Amino acid sequence: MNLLRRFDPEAALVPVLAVVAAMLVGMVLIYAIGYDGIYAYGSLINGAVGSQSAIAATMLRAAPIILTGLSVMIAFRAGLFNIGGTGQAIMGLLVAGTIATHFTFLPGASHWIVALVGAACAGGLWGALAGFLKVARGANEVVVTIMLNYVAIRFGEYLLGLGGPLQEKGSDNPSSALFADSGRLPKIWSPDPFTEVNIGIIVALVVATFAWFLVARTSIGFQIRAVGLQPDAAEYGGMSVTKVTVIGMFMAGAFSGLGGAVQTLGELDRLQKSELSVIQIGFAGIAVALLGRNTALGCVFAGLLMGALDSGAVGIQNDNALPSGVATKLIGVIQGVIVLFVGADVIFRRLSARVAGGFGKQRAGPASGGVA
Amino acid sequence: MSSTRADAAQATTTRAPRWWRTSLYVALVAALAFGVVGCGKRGGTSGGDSGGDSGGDGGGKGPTVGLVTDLGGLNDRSFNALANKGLEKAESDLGAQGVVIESKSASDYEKNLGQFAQQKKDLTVGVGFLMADSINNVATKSTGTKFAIIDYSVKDDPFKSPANVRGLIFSEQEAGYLAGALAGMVEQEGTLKGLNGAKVVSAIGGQKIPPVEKYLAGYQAGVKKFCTGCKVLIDYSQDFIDQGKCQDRANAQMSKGSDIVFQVAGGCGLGALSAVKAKGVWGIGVDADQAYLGAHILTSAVKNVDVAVFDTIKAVGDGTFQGGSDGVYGLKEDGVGLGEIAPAAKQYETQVATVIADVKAGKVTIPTSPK
Amino acid sequence: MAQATPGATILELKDVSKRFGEFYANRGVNFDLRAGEVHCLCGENGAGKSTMMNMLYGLLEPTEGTISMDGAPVHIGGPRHAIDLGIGMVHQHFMLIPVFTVAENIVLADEPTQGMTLDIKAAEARVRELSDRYGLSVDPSARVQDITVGQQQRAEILKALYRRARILILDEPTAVLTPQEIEELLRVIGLLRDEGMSIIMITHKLKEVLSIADRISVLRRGEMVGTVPREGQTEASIANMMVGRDVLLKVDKTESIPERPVLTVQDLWVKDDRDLDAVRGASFEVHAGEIVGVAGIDGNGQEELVDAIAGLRPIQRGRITLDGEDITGLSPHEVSEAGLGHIPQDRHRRGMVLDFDLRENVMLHDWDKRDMVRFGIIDRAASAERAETLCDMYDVRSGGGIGSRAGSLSGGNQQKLVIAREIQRDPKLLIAAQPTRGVDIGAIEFIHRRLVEERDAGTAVLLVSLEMSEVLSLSDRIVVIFEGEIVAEFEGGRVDEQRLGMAMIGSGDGHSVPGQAGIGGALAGPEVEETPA
Repeated sequence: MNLLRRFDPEAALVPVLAVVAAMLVGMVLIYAIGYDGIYAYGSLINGAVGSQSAIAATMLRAAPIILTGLSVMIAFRAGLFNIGGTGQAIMGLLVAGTIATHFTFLPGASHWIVALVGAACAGGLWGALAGFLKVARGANEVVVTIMLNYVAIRFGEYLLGLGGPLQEKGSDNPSSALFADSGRLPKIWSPDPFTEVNIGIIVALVVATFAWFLVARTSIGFQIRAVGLQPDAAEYGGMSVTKVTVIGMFMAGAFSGLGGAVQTLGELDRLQKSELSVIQIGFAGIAVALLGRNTALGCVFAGLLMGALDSGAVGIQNDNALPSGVATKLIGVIQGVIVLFVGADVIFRRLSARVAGGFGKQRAGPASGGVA
Repeated sequence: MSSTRADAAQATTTRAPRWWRTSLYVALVAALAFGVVGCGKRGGTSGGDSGGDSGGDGGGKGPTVGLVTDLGGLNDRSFNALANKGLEKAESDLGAQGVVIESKSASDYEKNLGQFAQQKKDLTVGVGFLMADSINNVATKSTGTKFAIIDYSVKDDPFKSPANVRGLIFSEQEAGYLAGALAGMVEQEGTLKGLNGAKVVSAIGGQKIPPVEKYLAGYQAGVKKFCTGCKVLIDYSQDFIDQGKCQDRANAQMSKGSDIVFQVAGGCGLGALSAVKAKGVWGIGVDADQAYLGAHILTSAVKNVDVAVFDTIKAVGDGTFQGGSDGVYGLKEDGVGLGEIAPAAKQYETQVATVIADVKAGKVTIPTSPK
Repeated sequence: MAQATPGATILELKDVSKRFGEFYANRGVNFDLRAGEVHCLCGENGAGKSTMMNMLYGLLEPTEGTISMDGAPVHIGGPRHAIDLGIGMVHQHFMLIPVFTVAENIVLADEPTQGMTLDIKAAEARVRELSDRYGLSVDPSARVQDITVGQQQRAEILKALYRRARILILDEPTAVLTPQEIEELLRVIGLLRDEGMSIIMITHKLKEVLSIADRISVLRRGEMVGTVPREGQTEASIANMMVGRDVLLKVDKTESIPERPVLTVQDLWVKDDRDLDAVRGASFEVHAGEIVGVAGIDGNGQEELVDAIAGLRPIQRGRITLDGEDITGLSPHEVSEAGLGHIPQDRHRRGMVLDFDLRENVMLHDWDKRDMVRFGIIDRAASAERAETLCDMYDVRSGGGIGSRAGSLSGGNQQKLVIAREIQRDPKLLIAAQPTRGVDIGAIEFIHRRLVEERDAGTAVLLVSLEMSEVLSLSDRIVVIFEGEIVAEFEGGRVDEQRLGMAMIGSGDGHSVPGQAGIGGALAGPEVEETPA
């Protein structure tokens, strides 16, 4: 039941196999529609890692989804399924964008740092709200987080809509004013004049390290894992399942909030109302966490891989290796199949554990089975 | 996270035989692979011919063109699809060498535009006003290459009429006027199925922004001109996405007697058109030809983005591209017009043709803001 | 069923060894099974019984030696092959699919097919016929998730019979059963033997061994100590073979010297999960330096009583104090801080996190203690050191030291780990709920001795056990719980099984209760010494 999160060679092997299998499926697909698969994959690799600019684009794409992946991971460790990455990211980017636009009194680097901290807090509170509703009202966190996604989208649309408090004064467009330069994430690397890697990837790596340390080495991480694995034993150990649930969801929300802020302050110029309902990083985080086997390190690799595939889609289009409009769909299929294979493995492991473990064992640990 | 495995002797009894797990896994992978391939083949026959340019065809000597779509992607049946249509025409007629990149998120815009700038494309086209910031950023850094933005004026913020960017904008009021004219004729005669004789038509705008206002103004003028005593209701959904909001507005208007509803609210407006269909009255589509929605679409007020894109690519090839200003595409330039007219209303086609000729000849003055 | 000549050897292991790396799980084992006998295989946890059976069932391959059936050497390639050879195995943890019916489970790997579809009617008929023949009453059309553990076990046995097993291996079949179910199982085993079935039964429970076995083999540390006929054996003699020394089945302890009351429970009312009153007005005390045993038949409120004291279950009414401090309604953490050590009855659910390693399980209560955690960060060195010390002191054996997953330990070692942790905390009150359930003889003795040592060190010990002999041999005082009420209290050592048994079934006046005879033993001489008002 815990095989999801325990690192062993077999567990690391499955994601790799899933990726290989998905790539093979993609290859078959390309030939099936009458195009040159080898050439297309050459373009894919070229677009993903073939040049400094490609690597930079991959890093830009990876940063936010590593963060939302960590969000799903930490919630999962506490036995919770966080589908609310979207809403938490939106709350985060709204606060980050507002600070970046208006808090121009903040000196130097403190401006964007405060914006990120604000985003983490906003996302965290949004996550904690779901945790609170779970422990206080018994509301299932899956349902609650999905609902809160919509609430966040609508809230943001109100703020940015015509006449909304965050809409740029005197503009016809449903968007905020431009971010102040000091509120944007600083650039750390420019392989070409048009690709500028910002500090977001560093933020993601720092947060991943923090998440690993939190889970593996701290008291709260110990409690999160205990509650996630065996709530009854955690309670017996004197831990408060209530407290841990709320804290776990706060952490999850904070990571997602950072993901939203990193993407927005790193690569956009202002908040746009129309983008709120099409934000993808929340759900991408679920795939990243699943592929990363719910470990911090795994999320980093999975985020980089998913980012690389998206960059690779651009590479395919650049080389006209596939007809217009097919490349993004193909990459979507490959990403979907990866998740499917990893997910299928999890299901089979649980199924076989169930059959092998049988009933005698089931009495022992229904709670831990139920949350996984 | 790190833990050694169970001591083997005890652990073995509680694990399922390995072959069982492995074989199931293999079976699933195989099943999926075949299933996916099956789907792929079908996709191949229907969509294989769209680009036809596998592996970088050299052939053309025309300009190199990059097209960046917005989040709607190439299958949006609207601006992105039309822009691509214009590019494809330029490829076949002018030998242009085109590349299209679909954007998956807003943060992709600048990356994708930058990619084209770096490759020094002769022209980079961005679809939609959402890309304004990104095009402005990239164009500022890449003064040597040319850009075009669809449906956005380079005189508006954030642009400051940069010399290498051209805005492709449309005379929406003319398209609106044609749609209004047809609606007016239909109301005036009152013979089509579903009409209630109340002589009330309506329109739903997304927001009070220039393109929407121009559509509405033309519509209003057209109706009034061809229908004596007709009333035109106008509402705003304050939204371009949420179909529910436009559905509500449409229902409210229909309850006030409207039997022709013109949607000027993008995706939101699709909700209005489905409300219309449910009521059995008439709707008018916007931007692209929305006749595919069904026989209840009287016509559509369209922007021929493909024409504008083709024209701009041609200008780049001819060396007549003018940055820092907008290309305004009206009826005369075939930049706007009407979509397909519903089969039931074919009898108005000749009358409409006359109106088109009058507008082209400049015989009609059409307002640009509704009364 | 293929009949062999009764008494002929049908299965033989000759010099069989199984090595995992440097470690011999079995070394030079000789074993034979005769047609129509019940052969009990005994040994402590980790003695190599399961390894041996897994080799017979084809799950493991012997490193050395030969396995023969009917005199000819065989290579058992896997469970499927074992089944084809006529070997059936009933595992400790059943391999049934909960949402399938009994019949579906039984025919799962061996379906009578009619075209492509499963002929479930024919299957049910055959299952019914088998269950009638051996008195294995279970409804073939019931879903496995709806039937009792005992019935599930019968389904497992039927599965083996259905596949025409002539050798049946039962791995600790009584561990999960109630006393009545055990009696029923032993009857079935006898019946199967009479029908010519050859049975290997693995068990710890010496009473069962003596009541059912024809021959007894004992494994110790992977080696076969010997095979003896049942005649002439006693519990002590088998136990001696198992642990290699004389086991104190009677606990050696001095008279207790009770001091101040540590735990007082006054008029305690607690509800169970179904919202019914499970503990109804219980009042008792436990003094420092004494062991108070709570005797009772399972399900009479013991679990709820313990949970309520530990803060794990809300209290409806009443008052609990721990060494003078009112702990009524406190959280588990607060009760634990007030001085409670708690060996929970279900170590798999509560007592440990199975997927944590030993080091982490040792600090399960200590996630906020200064000696284990500094500034929110766990002191791994300190917790590792404590884990090492405790594993050493309590002889907790594991495959990979303190980094082993707790779930990978044998039951006895898991329990020793829990007990080590709870005693190490130096509690004022130690609750030991079912401290020796599923634990082998050697460990039982060890655990009992520890509990007495704790008592002698001045701890108040509350022992809750379903094993009457355990309560009798350990307790200085015994309270009897029946339907949530404390119905009797005895001085330890001044009550026998019969009188205690009578009290446990709520019968102070000699009325026998049908179906409960196995619990109370002989139903004579009822006389409750002190019955609190």
